[in-house]
Amino acid sequence: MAVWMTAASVASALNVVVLLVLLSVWTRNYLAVGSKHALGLTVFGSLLLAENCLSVYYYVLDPEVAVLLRSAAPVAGRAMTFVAILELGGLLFLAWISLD
Amino acid sequence: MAPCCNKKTKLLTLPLSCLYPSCETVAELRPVDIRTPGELGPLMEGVLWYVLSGTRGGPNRARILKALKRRPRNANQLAEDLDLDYKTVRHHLDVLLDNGVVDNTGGDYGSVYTLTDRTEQYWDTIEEIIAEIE
Repeated sequence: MAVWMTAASVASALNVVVLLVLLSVWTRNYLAVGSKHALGLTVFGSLLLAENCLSVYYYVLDPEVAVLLRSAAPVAGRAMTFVAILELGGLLFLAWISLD
Repeated sequence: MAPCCNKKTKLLTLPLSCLYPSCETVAELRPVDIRTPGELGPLMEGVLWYVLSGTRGGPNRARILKALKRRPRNANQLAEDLDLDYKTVRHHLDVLLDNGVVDNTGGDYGSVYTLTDRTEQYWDTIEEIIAEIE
């Protein structure tokens, strides 16, 4: 289980990095343009960032949850890893079109 | 310009310059151009929305559109008027061209860029998106 939890943590941490890049673009656009669309993207990015920060916290740092997850059956960690990797794929694609 | 609008010519064999002054051949006509405005609505709004507020170059693209709305210009004039790097302007114009937001007339260098009819049609949307630029 510990291996999968490490993989899920790394994927979530990467999500945080990509989201920070996206948010830097969207926040700057919101400040420059002031449109509701840019605001929407900024809010969306912030909430997704919070979700991923929370994931990393639970997987790595939370004294109760992290310990519990590491001692759980590997299937759970594997499932969490897949979800985080799919999200990473989506975010990378979004970053690709947004950095154009 | 190609000889235009012979009465006996069927519509499909007409030089496109008769219908779309900026297009000389079928290859230049993008598939979306033959849809009706009603179909284009959400599509064009989505394109504008993404190009102007979702991307790194969005705000500068919005400034370019505002400048082109006032009057058509070439890349050099845009770079000068907006105080942007010439290469940056070229890149933005290419993206806008790819998305059917602007059109260019003439050759490679010094060719003049204009807003497409569709863009003009959705100018209210653009204004809404870029409410506070400049």
